[in-house]
Amino acid sequence: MNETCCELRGFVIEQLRRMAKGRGITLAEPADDVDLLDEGLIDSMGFVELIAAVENYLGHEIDLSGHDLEEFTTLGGFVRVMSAA
Amino acid sequence: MIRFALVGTSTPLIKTIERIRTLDGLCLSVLYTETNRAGEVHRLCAESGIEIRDIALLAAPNAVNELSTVDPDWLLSISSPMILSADILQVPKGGSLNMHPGRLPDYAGMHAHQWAIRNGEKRFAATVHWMEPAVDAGPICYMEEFDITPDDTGFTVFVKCLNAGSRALLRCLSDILEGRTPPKNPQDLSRRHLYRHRDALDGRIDWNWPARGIVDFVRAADYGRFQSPTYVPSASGPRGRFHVRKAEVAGAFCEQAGAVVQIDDRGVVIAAGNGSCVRLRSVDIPSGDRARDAAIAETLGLRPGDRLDSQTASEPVICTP
Repeated sequence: MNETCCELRGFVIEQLRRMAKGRGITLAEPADDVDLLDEGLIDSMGFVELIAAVENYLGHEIDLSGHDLEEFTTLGGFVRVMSAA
Repeated sequence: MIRFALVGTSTPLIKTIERIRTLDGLCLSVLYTETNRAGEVHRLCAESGIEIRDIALLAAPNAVNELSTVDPDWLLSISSPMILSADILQVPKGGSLNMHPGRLPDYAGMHAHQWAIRNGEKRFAATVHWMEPAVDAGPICYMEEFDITPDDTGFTVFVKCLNAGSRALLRCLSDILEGRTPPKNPQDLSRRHLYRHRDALDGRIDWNWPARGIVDFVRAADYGRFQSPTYVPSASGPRGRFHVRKAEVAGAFCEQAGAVVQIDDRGVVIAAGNGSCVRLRSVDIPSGDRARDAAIAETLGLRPGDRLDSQTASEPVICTP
């Protein structure tokens, strides 16, 4: 994982913790293969918010065209797609 | 401070509020939304000091009084399915604007982004327009365009629509905050097509459709791990119904539509309309199992020469003036 990816991963975890806190959940360090949807850490609306937050962080819009979204709901998959988009 | 009241539901709100909440000179005072849906919109509003009220209040007999208590300069509707009466639209002193995640006038109504893919559009747009009692029919302020690529899916085009809609809304807000009235370009309503929710619920694949139409139908409903807001593309095989998650155009064979013409390591090739063919790349079966590529034929019990039923389904391309 390169430096940009690491920084983005840290930012995403920070956002996830903030969102989890709003639901009364304390989020420990999630593993890359944790499925955020299956674990109930975030819902589809939350993903759209997360994309918006990443766009603000990166300073540009994210184009998801052509990216494999099958693993999009895992932490590692989300960071990979966001950093490549 | 210029006071705005927001109206809307679900995901489009999140992206838009995130974009506009920090603009100088703008006060987002109240959001009318579904109060029974807790979640990120509520948290975002709490963080931003936006009061939340039930969207049903704007459909009640005293809706005009309700909105008058907010005393907004402008009303912003973010992809809201609610039709507001002429009386309500006159309450905001500046006017009422709607962000529609689709191109106007030919993609009014619901799920426009999915229809754009189904209709084979290569270029699409999101629109901000002045609100009138008729759905998505008011004069256009700004339209922001973007490309739809062959790789795009329902989910990716939805996100593109929200981004484009946010850009169009920011242009309107810039006008307002700088003392200008946003443009009012009348729509050519002779080109209007209104898509209704119920028009988009039939997920049955008709193998008589051209391969391109079937592939577009499948990818328009592809939301990755999320649920499509409308239909799930489905077909029937020897072992019952199955859902098609990924498909691609696969050359031409002179076989009857629905015939299994080839099985290879990339999937199952089915004859479609006009001599075209579709290759199934990923399917789900009712037990919840997923099969990809070479595993599809065995999972569905398909052999070369089998024929899938062509179900009676509405044509995927129904764009009419």
